[in-house]
Amino acid sequence: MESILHAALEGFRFVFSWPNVLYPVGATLLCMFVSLVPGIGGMTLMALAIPFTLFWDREHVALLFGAFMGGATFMGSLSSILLGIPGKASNAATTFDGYPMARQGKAKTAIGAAASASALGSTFGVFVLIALIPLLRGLIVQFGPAEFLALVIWGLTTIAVVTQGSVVKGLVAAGVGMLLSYVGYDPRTAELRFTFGTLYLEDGIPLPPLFLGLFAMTEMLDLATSGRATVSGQTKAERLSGSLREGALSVFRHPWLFLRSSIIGTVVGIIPGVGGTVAGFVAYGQAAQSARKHGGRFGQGDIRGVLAPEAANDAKDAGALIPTFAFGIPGGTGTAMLLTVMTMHGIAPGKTLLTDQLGLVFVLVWSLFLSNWVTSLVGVATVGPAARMTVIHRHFLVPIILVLTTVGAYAYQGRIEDVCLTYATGALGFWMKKHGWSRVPLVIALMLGGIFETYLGITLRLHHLGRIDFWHRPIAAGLLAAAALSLGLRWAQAARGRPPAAAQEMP
Amino acid sequence: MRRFSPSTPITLLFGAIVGVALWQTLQLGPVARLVPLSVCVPTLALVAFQLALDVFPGLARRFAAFERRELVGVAGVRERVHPEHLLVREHPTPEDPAKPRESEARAFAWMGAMLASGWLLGFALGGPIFALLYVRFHGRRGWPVALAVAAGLGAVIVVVFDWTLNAPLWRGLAWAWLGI
Repeated sequence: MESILHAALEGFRFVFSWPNVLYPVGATLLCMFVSLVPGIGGMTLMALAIPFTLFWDREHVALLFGAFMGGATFMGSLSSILLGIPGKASNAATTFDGYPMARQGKAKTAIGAAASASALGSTFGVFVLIALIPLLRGLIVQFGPAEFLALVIWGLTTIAVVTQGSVVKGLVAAGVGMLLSYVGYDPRTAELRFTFGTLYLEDGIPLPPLFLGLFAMTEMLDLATSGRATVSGQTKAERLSGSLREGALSVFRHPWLFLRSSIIGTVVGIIPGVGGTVAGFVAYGQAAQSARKHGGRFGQGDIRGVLAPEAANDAKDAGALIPTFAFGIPGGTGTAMLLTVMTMHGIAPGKTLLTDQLGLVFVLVWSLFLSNWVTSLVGVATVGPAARMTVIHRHFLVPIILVLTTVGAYAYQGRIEDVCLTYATGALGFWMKKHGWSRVPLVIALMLGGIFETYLGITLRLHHLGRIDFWHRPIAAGLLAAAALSLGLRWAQAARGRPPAAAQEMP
Repeated sequence: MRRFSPSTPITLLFGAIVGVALWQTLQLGPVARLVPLSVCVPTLALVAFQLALDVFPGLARRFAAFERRELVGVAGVRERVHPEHLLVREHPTPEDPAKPRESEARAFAWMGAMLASGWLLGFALGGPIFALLYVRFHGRRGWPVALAVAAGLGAVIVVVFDWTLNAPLWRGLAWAWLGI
């Protein structure tokens, strides 16, 4: 425990020392700027940043990506409140009550509530993560190949089942993602798979150009074809009125709602593939259900409808880091990109990271913490100009991001094939998004496919040698039961004939 | 039976990818093909099922609960909120179905133009030229604005990628052809 506190202090000192503090603050401000533009979130920025950080040391990379993870969330809620258009899918639930509040002349109150819930929610999540690190260190040593295999299976079933949209499409995308992860050398026999005789594919599909295509390029194509004159579709921002102070203090008037929502956010963040949209909606749902007993006016401008999704949405960021750091299982697209960057810089998730490199973990955690506070404070302070930034003309944004994406893809390895891969996956991502195919299962399965194969191979070999009995390992059995349960629940829900849902934004 | 849903080409593309992967998997040794084969077969079955859902509306209705679903704990929330406040839509509803196709074709053409200009002239020059043309002709802005965007972008590419990061920048084939 002492070593954890020492590492936490060291990480804190590193993040808040000069000039290191400039990294998270600068990255957060950049992320805030980008996230204000509806439809272009932190994911695009993270994808674009991967080639920039190739030659950086790992601590500064952790500073940057920690800030990116936290920087986008609150700013997306500004466009939700002011324009009724979520900056990110995860801010969609905030729209329900935030936008009606803005129309009732309480825009500043809603923004104040979102800012304080967001900052305090992320703080809650960070402290839960810190508190769980000793537990995780104890848990990891209990994990052998069989447990890791079961965990990956659970992760795969969860992403296929919980990711929004069609279940079948989610499963197909996950299958394709897994197959893409097997391109290159087979780890056991060194046989080449799916390379079609090309040298380029022998080391597998490079992830940074793929991410640039699937996220940055896709969003640009989506924006270019949206038909909106400005990025938000509005020509001018709403006039702001209301009280920021009243909004900020509302968290303290509803402490239990805040606590429940933060817990929901953290737990949802831990589950692989679920993400902020679910956290926001589930928190909103529980707030609406509990408020119904007290005559709440949810959907018509109830401040609790802003507090609940915002607290959950920010608390989930730290929760998502738990499976990422401990088991290398990404909780969502952001953590998948973080894992890619960590791998590029020689950082392996697992026991070593949580023991010998704990300082690095805390650098990222404190950077995430700082960025959440910076977004909330700066966001509130600059709410007027920020509202005007949501009406940037798309004709400026599209060529700039397109060119930077192309240059970034090439800068990764200096190979023109990477640029072609980015364009191809950009087109694929655009068509997937347009026709209701979520990209999340594909990306997460791509990350998990290799781990699945490695641990399946080791587990089968050990089982064959009689060294482990897969069926008598309680953690593995529990994880497999969780996988079966998540599939079973989905099946039962479908069998009850729940009606199809309204259209949702596809990540 | 209907002809195809708009998402059918994606289903077919994924089917083709999985089919080719299956064919390649069968050429591999027993160890190397174990996992890919165990992924290919169920994925191909799912692709076939999705294709059936795309083509047969009756089947799609029967499996509607699997086709699109609400999140646990969220059901009912949407009915209580005012729908006019929910502006998030998966796809914008087009007024004229020909318009999105036209804008998509235009977007892909511009994307191709970026690739071609970068490939021929190099990224440091081709990128800004693309931005200049895009802002001037697609964005219908004046030359001063377009030139400012192009110059700013060129400066970012050179300063950030070349000078600061010392990252490789594609020089372009045209210069080699011209012997420069």
